[in-house]
Amino acid sequence: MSIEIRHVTHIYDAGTPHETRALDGIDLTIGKGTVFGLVGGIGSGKSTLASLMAGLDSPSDGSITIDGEVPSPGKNVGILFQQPEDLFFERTLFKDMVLGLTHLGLSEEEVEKRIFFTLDQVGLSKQILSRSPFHLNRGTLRLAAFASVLVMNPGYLILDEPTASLDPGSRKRLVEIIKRISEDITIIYISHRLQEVIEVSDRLVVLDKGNITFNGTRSDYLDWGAGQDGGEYLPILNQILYRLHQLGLDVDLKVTQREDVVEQIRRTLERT
Amino acid sequence: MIEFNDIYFSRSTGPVLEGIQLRIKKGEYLGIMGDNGSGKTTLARLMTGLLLPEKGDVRVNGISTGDRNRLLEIRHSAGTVFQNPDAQAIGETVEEDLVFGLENLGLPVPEINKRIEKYLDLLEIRELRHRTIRTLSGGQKQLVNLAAVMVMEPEYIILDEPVSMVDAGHRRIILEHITRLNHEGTAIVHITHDPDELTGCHRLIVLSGCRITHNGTPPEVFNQLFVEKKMDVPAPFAISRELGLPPVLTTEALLEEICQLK
Ligand SMILES: Nc1ncnc2c1ncn2[C@@H]1O[C@H](COP(=O)(O)OP(=O)(O)OP(=O)(O)O)[C@@H](O)[C@H]1O
Ligand SMILES: Nc1ncnc2c1ncn2[C@@H]1O[C@H](COP(=O)(O)OP(=O)(O)OP(=O)(O)O)[C@@H](O)[C@H]1O
Ligand SMILES: [Mg+2]
Ligand SMILES: [Mg+2]
Repeated sequence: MSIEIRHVTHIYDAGTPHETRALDGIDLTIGKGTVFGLVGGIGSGKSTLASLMAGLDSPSDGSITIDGEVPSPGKNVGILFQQPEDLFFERTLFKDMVLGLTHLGLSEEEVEKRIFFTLDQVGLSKQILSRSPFHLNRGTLRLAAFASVLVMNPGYLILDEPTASLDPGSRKRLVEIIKRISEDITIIYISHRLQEVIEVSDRLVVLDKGNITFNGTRSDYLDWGAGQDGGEYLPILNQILYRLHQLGLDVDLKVTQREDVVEQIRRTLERT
Repeated sequence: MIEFNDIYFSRSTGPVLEGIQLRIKKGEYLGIMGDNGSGKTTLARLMTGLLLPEKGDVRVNGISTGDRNRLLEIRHSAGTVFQNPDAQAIGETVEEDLVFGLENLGLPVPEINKRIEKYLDLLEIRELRHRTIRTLSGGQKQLVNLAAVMVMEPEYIILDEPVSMVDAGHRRIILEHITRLNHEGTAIVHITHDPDELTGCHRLIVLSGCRITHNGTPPEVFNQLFVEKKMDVPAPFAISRELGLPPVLTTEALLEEICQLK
């Protein structure tokens, strides 16, 4: 059970002066039950790959299968779009959330139960259900979009910049939710916030202009990131550790939590 | 100067801002933080008359935002990069979008071209010049929006989470450029949830419960936030405090402090 991506190339506006090779012969296997971090510069092809995996578009060349089948929208893959408003079209959030669930053939009670449970999980109050998604402040809009995808209970969940515009409290809650649900759900986590990607991901892939330049475990990623000039692929905490290491301090470069970083520095200072 | 005189603003859900008293001086760099729904975007929209206060008045260089005849003057002196990257573009292509505002300023064509080249180069998005905005990636749109405001060279630039969707390299370039513009005299209002973006600002305010709850220099406010444990502070700041070092805002400064102990 996995997502298999074979020689996938995706070209926009082929044959025009604006032809863009968004993905260039990608090969990737995403195993069941992992959190897969997908990072890379702006325009490197992350959202394009996401929409192909969600079956919203087919690759110009190559193939993608999910559990052996060609992906099709709504079928076991949930996607939280980078632009959260792309998910909504009803007058109230409730209508939008119900819409997806009725397709699953659930009873009215079951639908309500699932919606309330999910809202509670992401830290939103029931009152929000009667509001128009388009009149929400942006952070809350994104949380509402996350809830609308989560409530569908998909086997695969693609999150495209899920924490942009979220305040620190909501961001922490979202990261906790992801850690908890990832035992049952395969998650593809796309973000420019490297600190979070490192925290949640078992494996990471780096895209650069439509090509994979890194594919490996979290630990391998930290080694790889340290070797890239400028250290810009490292989260700020690991940048600090790496710089200290370069200055000759003996610190563990693989810790990722702030408490552990402080502890590392304290210990090495005591030794000297 | 942008002045808020005892502002009240509400929505059907209740008050959003109450008793807001704020002065943003020419050439100042103001940071704004606050939880989701605390009214940051509302405050930004009040600054250029996109929203009008129910009580009190907002003035830009002495002109009230309620003065509809002079709204254009206000919009020329204060440019906003909106939080939603899809909400801003006027033109179809990047170039058209940038040209539009400059033509409105009545600039001659060679000057228009010079400015467009300058800012596309600065933000390293030269290759996007002839692209259709609608088909750009999220981060590319955010950069184009920034360029569209910077190219106007306004007196005040209001940024509502300007780098929430760009990579670390572009984030650094943008933040450096914002600081440079500020040194050259542009006033900056910078809204964000990421305190590490705000190490260059002069003053930092926090919105909570419809009011400004914190107002001071970044070290002052971060210190209060660190003690209250309510909100994030820059990573180097937290680490220096936890190690009992003099509090610092940047990685460079932290490394220096640690090296002195070694
Ligand atoms: N509908 C489209 N038509 C034409 N070009 C497109 C379209 N969508 C994306 N592109 C281009 O394809 C490339 C990859 O875009 P994509 O959105 O996948 O990048 P991304 O990695 O998600 O970037 P970001 O981090 O900025 O969101 C970019 O150069 C982009 O401009
Ligand atoms: N168009 C609207 N209609 C009704 N209520 C709105 C509208 N826009 C914002 N609000 C409400 O006003 C309050 C303040 O919203 P605002 O967008 O200013 O918050 P914010 O601090 O910018 O939040 P975020 O960090 O999520 O961007 C929120 O409670 C929000 O729900
Ligand atoms: Mg994207
Ligand atoms: Mg906002």
